[in-house]
Amino acid sequence: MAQAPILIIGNGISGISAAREIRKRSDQRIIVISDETPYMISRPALMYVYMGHMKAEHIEPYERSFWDKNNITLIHDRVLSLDTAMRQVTLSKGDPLTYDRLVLATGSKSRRLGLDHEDVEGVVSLYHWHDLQKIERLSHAFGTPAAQHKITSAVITGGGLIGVELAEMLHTRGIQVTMIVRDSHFWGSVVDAHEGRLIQKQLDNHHIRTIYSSSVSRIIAQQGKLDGVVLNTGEELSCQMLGVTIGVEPNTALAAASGIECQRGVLVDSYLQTSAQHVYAIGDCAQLRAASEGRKTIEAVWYAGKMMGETVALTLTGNAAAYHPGIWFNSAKFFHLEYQTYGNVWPQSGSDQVHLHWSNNTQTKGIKLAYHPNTMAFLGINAWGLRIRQDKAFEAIRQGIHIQQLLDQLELFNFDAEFTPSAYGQMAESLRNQIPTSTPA
Amino acid sequence: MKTIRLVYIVLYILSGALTGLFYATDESYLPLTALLIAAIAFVLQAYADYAPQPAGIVHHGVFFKSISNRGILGWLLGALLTGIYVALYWFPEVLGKSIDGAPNKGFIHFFDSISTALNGHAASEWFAYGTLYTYLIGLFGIRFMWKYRAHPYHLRRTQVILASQFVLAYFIPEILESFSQGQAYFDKDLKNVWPLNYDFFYSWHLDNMQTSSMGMFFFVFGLAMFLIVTPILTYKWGKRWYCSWVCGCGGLAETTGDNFRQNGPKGLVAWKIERWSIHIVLVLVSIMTAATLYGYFTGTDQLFGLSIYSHFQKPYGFVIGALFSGIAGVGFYPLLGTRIWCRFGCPMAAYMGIIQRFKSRFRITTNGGQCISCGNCTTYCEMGIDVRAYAQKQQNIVRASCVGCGVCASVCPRGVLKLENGPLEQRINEPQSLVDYIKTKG
Repeated sequence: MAQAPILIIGNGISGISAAREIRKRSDQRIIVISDETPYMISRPALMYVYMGHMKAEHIEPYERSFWDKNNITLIHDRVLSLDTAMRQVTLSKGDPLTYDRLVLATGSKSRRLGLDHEDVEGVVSLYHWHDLQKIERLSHAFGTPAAQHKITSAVITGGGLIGVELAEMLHTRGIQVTMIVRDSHFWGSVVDAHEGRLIQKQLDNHHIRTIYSSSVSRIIAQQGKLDGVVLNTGEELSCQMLGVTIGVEPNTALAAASGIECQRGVLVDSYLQTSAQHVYAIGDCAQLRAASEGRKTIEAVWYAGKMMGETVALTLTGNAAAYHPGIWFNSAKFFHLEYQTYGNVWPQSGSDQVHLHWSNNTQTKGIKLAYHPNTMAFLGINAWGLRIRQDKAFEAIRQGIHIQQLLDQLELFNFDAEFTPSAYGQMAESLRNQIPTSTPA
Repeated sequence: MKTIRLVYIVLYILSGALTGLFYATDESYLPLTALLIAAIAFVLQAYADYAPQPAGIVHHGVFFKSISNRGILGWLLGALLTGIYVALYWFPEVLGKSIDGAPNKGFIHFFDSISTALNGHAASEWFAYGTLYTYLIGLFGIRFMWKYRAHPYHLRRTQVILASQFVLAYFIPEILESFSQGQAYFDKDLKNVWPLNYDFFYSWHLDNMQTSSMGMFFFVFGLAMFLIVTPILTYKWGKRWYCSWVCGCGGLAETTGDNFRQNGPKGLVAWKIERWSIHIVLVLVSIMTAATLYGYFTGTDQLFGLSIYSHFQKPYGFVIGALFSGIAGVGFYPLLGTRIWCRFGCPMAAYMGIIQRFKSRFRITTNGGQCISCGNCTTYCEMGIDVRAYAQKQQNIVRASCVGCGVCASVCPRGVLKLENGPLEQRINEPQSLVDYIKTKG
């Protein structure tokens, strides 16, 4: 009898990275199951489809001929249950499938407020392809005159990246957006008030209203339709759409139901293996039993999923490999403001790191450097409106070079487009002046 | 902004009225006046469209709009452009070209006074076309600069496109023409280089260049452009120095065609066809030119018993020069994107592409592992390159066809791409997994 296939549940970046890397190293059958879309899409690109920058087909990272050519079988179906003893899954439409090894790449689900009426028409989140369909159904067509708008105002709760993306999307259809942010500035869990101001500037430029230090405490609905929200301050806002973008959490439903050990996520060891034999979990849904240095146990970011997929592929093809994500990095874009980060840069300084700040007059570019107050070693960088060369940033972080030395060679980081006037001279000068002259003992 | 919108609408109407007045009165100052007023209106419109928005490229609604998403408006515009080119090449009398010495009429007559002022002749259909072409590059170039004003690379590039078109392609040739009244004609556009300028070596052209010292200068310069300048500059900066900074075809594509850059055919199949067709055209132009030179130096008009004119020059001029570069190249802008000719046909692009692929300092660097595979780069690549396919494999983009317009890098939301020139070592890197990248760098 032919060998059972490697089964991958989820066709996001994690599952597909696993499939690709397995195929490079093995001829074993690979089946990828997803109930979201028949072909992989780039989740972070959903917003561009709504804004008309791209069509749905453009956010498929691989041509459709790719899958046959690489002998990767795609199944568009929902997995109902998993039996780890029988090594079998049952599907909503198709016949049950047996597997040789199973990879869970079931991603995240949007966190909910836990309020009454959260399921009424008009309450949306932004994670899944179906979320986008829902937002599109609620919206009027692009370019519709204001008088014919289906929705004129929306409230978004959550001061993070997805919230801003949703605001940017709705803004392109002329919908007035109010953002409700729990902290006293934007993205308080990641950036400080200096940096929050740069994001705020973008929101102001695009006429997004922001209400800080607040949260939504009640949803007002009439006949199953959203009518408005009440904030914890008592303020009432009328709106026809409520975007709940307060983060994501691992989608563990299938694993938990089959008895695989889960906490917040599906627990995995450093080889990404779950508590069940022959079952692995990668990407957003996975929770590492032990995080590596400077990293978290759950990281719902694109490239971590990609690396987990590639890593599990090595293990599944006979070269057992532990997951080593290395130095933290990430990027985002807030309207026109690009953000990149390399290394560990905490929102606030403390005993293990202090910060240097620079921003330009128009608040369109900024930088935050973290270094150790005792060793003066460079720890990481947040860049705003400036592109940073990853190779160079990583090299400096790995070597832990002295912050003074870093400032002398900061221009090496510059990855901005040619002819962009360099801000680095002025920046280094300003940053240098912020370093205390006498190093604490 | 409402006032500005009102002003430019009034100016457009005024321009139209002056055009009508011209056809009624034949006053010679009216055409230029009408063009200038329409230009002011157009610039005001660009201002009103982009100035209120924060700086930065936005492609909102590109795939919802009929004109830019191959909708009915796109098809209508494509048909109109194609019709204009067909008339221009084969039925210029439809555009009002004089027949048997009679004065020009209609569309071409509109350009008579401008032509007379510049070079002393009534307008030919090619003068009318060249004037309109330059005018459009000027207007849309300014609009483009508003749209891309947050991006110095595009500003610089567009300024050079405008200067090249207005000075090198238009005013210098026209003014030199007026100084050489009665002398034999030859092409005076310094940047129009063989093999794009395929009739450079035609007997009449070689003969005419030899009739004056200016002609000899153009002859030597033309040879040097092909043999020396092009390889050196392409080695230093990639073919972008020509294709997206200087070239007239590229200039129109980058400015007037910007709205259609996303409509080029994509994918592996298109790439496969493209690699064959562009190199076939390079071979064809070489064979045609070899036959031409053979005829020139031996004084015959036949090669292997075949007429050099009707078996080599005429078919090349018809199929490649007219059908391909003109009619399909520009006529199909809204349907097949702006670089159909540049991608599938231009022998100059093929020649520089070979240099760029194998011996050039130019590349688009992929910044580590930041790519999120969103597809903006691939979608807005006018050359149909799947930029994302490289970026998501941590691989630099080194492709013969890349014209270095830089839009992929500008639309990237994660700062992944940078056009740059640098050492040849490590320029072309093998695709690698992110795990391998992090292992060596992180």
